[in-house]
Amino acid sequence: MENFNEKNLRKNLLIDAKAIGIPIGSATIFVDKTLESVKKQLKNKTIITNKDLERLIAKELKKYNADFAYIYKNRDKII
Amino acid sequence: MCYNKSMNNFTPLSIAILSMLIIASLYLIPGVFALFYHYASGKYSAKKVGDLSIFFILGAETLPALILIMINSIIYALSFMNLDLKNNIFLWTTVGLLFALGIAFFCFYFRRGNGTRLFITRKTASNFEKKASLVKTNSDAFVLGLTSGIPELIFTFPLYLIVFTEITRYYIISISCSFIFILFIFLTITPLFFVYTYFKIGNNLANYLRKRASNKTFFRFFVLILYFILALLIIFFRIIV
Repeated sequence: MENFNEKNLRKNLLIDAKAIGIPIGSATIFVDKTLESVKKQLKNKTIITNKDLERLIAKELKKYNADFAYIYKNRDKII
Repeated sequence: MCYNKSMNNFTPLSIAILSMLIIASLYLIPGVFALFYHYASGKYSAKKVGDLSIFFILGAETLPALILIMINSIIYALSFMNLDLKNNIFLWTTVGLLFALGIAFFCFYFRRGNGTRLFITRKTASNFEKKASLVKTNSDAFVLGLTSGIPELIFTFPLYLIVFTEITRYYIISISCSFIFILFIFLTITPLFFVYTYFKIGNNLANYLRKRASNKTFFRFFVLILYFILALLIIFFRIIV
């Protein structure tokens, strides 16, 4: 079990966004909105599996950029 | 079937090219490279990403060179024990191994499910992913390139052995032999140049992953057939003829 590290997650998402060519301003807005929405959905939960959290984040990211969501969801399925 | 003696010079070359084609078409090194490139381009400037990529490719190139040198040493040591790798027992063993590897590749190279998860242990895969995301210096990139081909040696080592024995079979003049070895080492890492160019022309990791995943089934059949053709070539040209 590990604590949810929002700062790290935000940093990694911004790296992904830059790598796929999303301008930094838009990327910051996408990531902030995604994290905000995820936090809202997790308001009543004290514990969540990694997979569920990933699914939630990918679902939110998909609203803004399909490639961004695809990479986030499939990063562990490359090799 | 008519067999012309002048084909002698082309047979080892074609067997070696086929072996190198199999090595070049495997998914692990380009996969690690794509991950590395993705993370690096998310963190660094285009110039630094280019530099790091060159060192990754140099590292990936060093592995086949080291393996061929190692095989050379092994064969040299075996020659003292009067063991000849060109005898029929060795050739039949190689053929059997190639058929077995072809079937093993078809069945086990990819894990079940979506994506292109490979046969390597999940711990190794996550280690590669972690290392790819942490590359900072040229030496990190070089080491990552060098080590990324090691887990695949189970499928590639017999092919390197075939390349070595085939090239040294006829091309005994040292300069032409060295030139052909350098050419083959370069051939094994050509997919990395393709991946690099693919990203450079504006594609991203998502496009690359989709392409990999959609070609998965074709690729399994393709490599299975290449292994079988290689085995048949060895039976025909090295055992029967």
